[in-house]
Amino acid sequence: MQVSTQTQGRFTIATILDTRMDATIAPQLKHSIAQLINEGHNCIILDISAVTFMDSSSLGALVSLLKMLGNRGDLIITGARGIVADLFKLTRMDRVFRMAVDVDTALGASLATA
Amino acid sequence: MDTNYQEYNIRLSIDSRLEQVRVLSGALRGIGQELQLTDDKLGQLELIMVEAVNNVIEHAYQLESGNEVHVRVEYSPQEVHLIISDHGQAMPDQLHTEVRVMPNPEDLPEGGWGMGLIHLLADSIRYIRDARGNHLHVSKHLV
Repeated sequence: MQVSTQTQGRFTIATILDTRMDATIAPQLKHSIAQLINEGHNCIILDISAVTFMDSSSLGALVSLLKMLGNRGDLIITGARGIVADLFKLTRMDRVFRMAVDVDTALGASLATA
Repeated sequence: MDTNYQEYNIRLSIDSRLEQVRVLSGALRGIGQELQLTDDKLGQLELIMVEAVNNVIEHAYQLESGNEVHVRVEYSPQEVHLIISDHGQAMPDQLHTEVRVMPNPEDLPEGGWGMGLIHLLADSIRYIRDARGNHLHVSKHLV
């Protein structure tokens, strides 16, 4: 799985470059983002705008990362669209994750609430 | 040639390894694009198929490779049937006979959505276990 990272203010923006997040990718996804958290990046924007398909095993990996962060930081999901956005809605996990249409919106909302 | 009404019965199969599921997905996408399914319908069918096949590999075959997973795609302009077949352990009755209640989001679940998603996305579901194995029939209306 390919992830690019950049820092903007207190946020680390992790962009998923793959178009699929599935059961093969889920363990790598969990490992990559957990590594960022362990390095002290506690405010993460995960940009999944390139992802056109995601299954429930990847959703489970995202939940485990949310648990790992606990109250220490933020995990904001940006760019979910199509069947990927549907997956969050159908499982009602869109109520649990902070979600934004894109990275700029997430950064703007976070600045407004800071 | 008149292509206004066509029916297809397409058979696919993979080995019971999670990394092969994406190839199956690619095949379904190709079929759906060729048959001009909308992105919405194709995305839903793909999610149904992937969740069902993941379940077969993880539960029916207990993540053991070397077993066959078959997917039959039956298409007519009115609906698509997906029939997912395996020779592994039977699916517990409550998973296919009841409308699944999704895990409570507040509990921060890390799984358990698969059959619930299939129930929500499909128009009908039927599960058969016979001498040849387990068969999950899922249909999705196109009109």
